[in-house]
Amino acid sequence: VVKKPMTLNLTDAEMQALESLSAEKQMTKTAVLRQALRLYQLINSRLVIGEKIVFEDVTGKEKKELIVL
Amino acid sequence: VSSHERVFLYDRHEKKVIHAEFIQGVDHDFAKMADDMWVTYLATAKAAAVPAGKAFENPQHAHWRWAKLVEIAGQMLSYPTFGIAVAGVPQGLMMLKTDGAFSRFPGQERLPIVEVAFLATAPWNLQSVVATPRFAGVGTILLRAAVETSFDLGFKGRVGLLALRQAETFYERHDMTCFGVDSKKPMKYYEMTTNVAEAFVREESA
Repeated sequence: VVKKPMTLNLTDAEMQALESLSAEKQMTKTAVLRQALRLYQLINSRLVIGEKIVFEDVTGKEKKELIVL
Repeated sequence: VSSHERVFLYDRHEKKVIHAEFIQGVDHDFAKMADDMWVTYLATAKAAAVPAGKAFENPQHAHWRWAKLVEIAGQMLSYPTFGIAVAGVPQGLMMLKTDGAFSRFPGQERLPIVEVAFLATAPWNLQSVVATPRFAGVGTILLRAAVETSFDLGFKGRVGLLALRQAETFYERHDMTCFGVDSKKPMKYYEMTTNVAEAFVREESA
């Protein structure tokens, strides 16, 4: 599969968040951003058909809706 | 978006290596063809086996409908699909889930893995269906695609899956670690480590 390069300009805070995720997941920054795109696409596809994204605590008793812009 | 490349299978009937087509991004028509051909083949095989008093066990994945799965996956990047064809005839199909699954190895629980959500080979390639299966290597090529996807996404070759009972020995042959029966589904969970994944890709490239 052919990949196309792109340049990305990030603020310090955004870069810090990216580096933190990169370290935690032991993934390159590019890999983290590609995963973020996949997840955003997946979430958006569910939202556009009227579904909600909900977080559940470990006991399964408390649920919080995730607001996605 | 789909891409095609050439791979090799061993034809047990003709006793020679043949060219096959590896498809990344399976479309609806190909998936539907697999459904139609595989269901028809199984029905015919069963109809021949039962009156002859031969044991016949349906593949555990016989009820999967690939056209539906491909439709659900749609254009979602998180659910890539793969197929193998010989002269246009589907020999195997796989759907991965690339997000939301994590390693079960102690200390690696926050590291993402590629999950093999569905993997099936055509019934005429299965020893449980026919005495001499036609093409060898379909499952291995698909599993290798899962490993390569994991490397490509930065997951370092980590691949996990819940195995159908009939496929357990296949995954064990590829040195995947068995974690026993899953807590939610009555299937054994297998995972491939980075070291095994690297060796697998090296071996298959040789």
